Amino acid sequence: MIITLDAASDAPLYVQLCNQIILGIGSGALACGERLPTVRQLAQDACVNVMTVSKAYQILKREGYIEVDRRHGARVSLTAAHSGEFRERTERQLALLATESALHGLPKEEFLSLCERVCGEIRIRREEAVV
Amino acid sequence: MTALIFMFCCLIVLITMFATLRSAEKPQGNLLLGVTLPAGCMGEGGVREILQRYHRAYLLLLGVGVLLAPPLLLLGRYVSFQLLYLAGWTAYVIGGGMHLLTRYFKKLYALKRARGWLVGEKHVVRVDTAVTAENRRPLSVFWLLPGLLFAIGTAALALLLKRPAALGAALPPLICAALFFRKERNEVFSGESEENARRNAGVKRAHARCWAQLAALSGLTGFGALLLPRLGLTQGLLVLCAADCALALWTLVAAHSAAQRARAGRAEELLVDDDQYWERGYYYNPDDPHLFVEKRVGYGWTVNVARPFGRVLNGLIVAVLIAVAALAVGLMRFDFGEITLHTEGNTFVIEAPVYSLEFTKEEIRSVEMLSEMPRATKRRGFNGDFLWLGEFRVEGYGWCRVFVYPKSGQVLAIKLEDSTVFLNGETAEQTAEFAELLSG
Repeated sequence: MIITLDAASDAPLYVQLCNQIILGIGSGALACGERLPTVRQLAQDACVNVMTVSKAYQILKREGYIEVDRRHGARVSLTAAHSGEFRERTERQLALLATESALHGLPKEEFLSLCERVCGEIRIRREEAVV
Repeated sequence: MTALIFMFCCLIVLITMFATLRSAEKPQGNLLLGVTLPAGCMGEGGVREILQRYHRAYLLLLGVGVLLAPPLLLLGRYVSFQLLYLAGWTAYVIGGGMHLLTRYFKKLYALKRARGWLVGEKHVVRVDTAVTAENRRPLSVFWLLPGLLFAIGTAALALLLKRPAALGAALPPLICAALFFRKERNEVFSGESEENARRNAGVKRAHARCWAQLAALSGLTGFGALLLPRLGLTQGLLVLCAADCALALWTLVAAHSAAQRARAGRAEELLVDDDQYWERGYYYNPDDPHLFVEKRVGYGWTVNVARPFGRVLNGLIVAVLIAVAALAVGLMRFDFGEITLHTEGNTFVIEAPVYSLEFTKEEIRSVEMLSEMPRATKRRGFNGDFLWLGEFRVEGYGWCRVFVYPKSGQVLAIKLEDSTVFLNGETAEQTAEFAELLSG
C-alpha cells in the first residue's frame, strides 16, 4: 500500500503513520500476515526519524494491529480484541464527531448515511497474505 | 608535457560542464532547469524567455572558458603558475556554471510560484510498503570483482615497491565498492506496487552498475599509476588516465540515461513537488537521512548539505582548492631555483631547491660528459619538464642522484665511490664550467 505523510499537517507524523496503516488494513490494502518494512527501512524511505516509526509501530502493536520482529520487520496481525475500554473510546470519539457534524449543519440522516458508506467500504482481508 | 596534461584537464572540465549545463535546458520528465513544472507549462512565454537567457549565458561562460584555456601553454616553463592558472580557470568554469544554474533555477522557481504551477503535493512523502519491505540487492556482488582485484593488486604493488604512501591509490575503488552497497531511497511512481518495484529495481540496477564500473576504472588507473612508470611507460600512463577519464564520464552519462529510462512508465504518475529542498542551489533536506542524492541537473550524485558529513564533504572542495594553491606556491622554488656547483676547500657542493649534495675530490672516480640525459624514473624528488632533482633510476646506471635540466642537452655523469651523480647547467656554457671545476 502507499503511505502518504504530510510534513505540513497539524497531525504528528507517527499519528499519520498509525492512521494510514489502520486505514490500509480496513480497506484491504494490507492483508493479515502481510509484511511491513522494518523500522529503519521505513524511516529511510519516509525521510523521518527512526524514533517516529518506532513509536508508530509500538502503538500499532499495543493496539493489536501488527506484530513486530526486529530483524524481519513487522507483519499485520489482527489480534485486536473488542474491549470495554475500546468501546468507550470509540463512543467518545463518535460523540465528538457527531457533535461537530451537527454544529456544521450536517443533518443526522446524512451523517448516518456517511457512516454507513464508510463502514461498507471496509474490506478487512483476514486470510494470511502470500508473501 | 605538463602543459598538455593541464590542457587535457581543461578539456575534461569543459566537456563535463557543457554536458551538465545543456542537460538542464532539456525537459527531463517534469524537470526543467531543476524546477518541477507541469508538462503543459513548459512552453509558456516566461519559461521560454528564461531558457533563452540561460542558453546565452552558459554559452558565453564556456566560450570565455575556451578562450582563457590556451594561455596555459604560454606558462609552459613555470609549473607553479600553470597550476595556479588552472585552479583559477577551473574555479571560474565550474563555479560560474553552478552559479548560472542556481540563478536560473531561482528565476524559474519564482515564475512557478507567481503563476501557481504546483506539480503534485508539497511537503508530502510517499512510501510503498511492499517495495520498501523488499531488501534484494539489485546487482550481484561479482560485478565488484574487477575493482576489488585491482585494489588488492595496487596495495600489494605499493608494499612491494616499499611505497606505503601509494596505498592511497587503492582507496578510490574501495570507496566505489562502499557506494555500490549503499541503500537508496525507494521512489513511489504510481499507485501500483508492482510498477513501483519494477521501476525502482531498474534505477538501482543502473546506479549499482555505475559504481561497479567506476570501481574497476579507478582500480585500473591506480594500478597502472604504480606499474607503468616502473616499466618506463610513463606516456602509456597518460593514455590510460585519459581513456579512464573518458570512460568514467561515459559511465556516469550512461547510468543517468538508464535510470531515466527505468523511471519512465505507463501507470498514472503520483507526483510530489519538493523543489523547496533545492531552493538554495544545492540539496538541503534535514528530514532526508541520505547523504548522497541523485542530481536534478547533470549526471551523478550530489550531497545533502543538511547532513553534517555533507557539509564536511563540501568543505573538502574548498580545502582542495587551498591545497592546490599551497602546492603551487611550494613549486615556485623549483621554477625559480637553479642548480649551482661550488667548492669549499676540498669539497664539491651541489646546491638546488630542496636537494643538495656534498662530496670530496677523492670520492670522484670519473667524470663523463654525455650528449643527453639517459631515460630515468623518479623515486623521490621533482621531475618537471625543465628540472629534475632528487633520486632517480637511470637507465644503465641504477639509482642515482640527479641535478639536471633535461632539455639542456649535455649532462655530466659523476661516478663516486658508491653512487653516480648526474649534473648539468641550464646552458651548455654552464655545464662546461661545471666540468672544468670538477676536473680542476
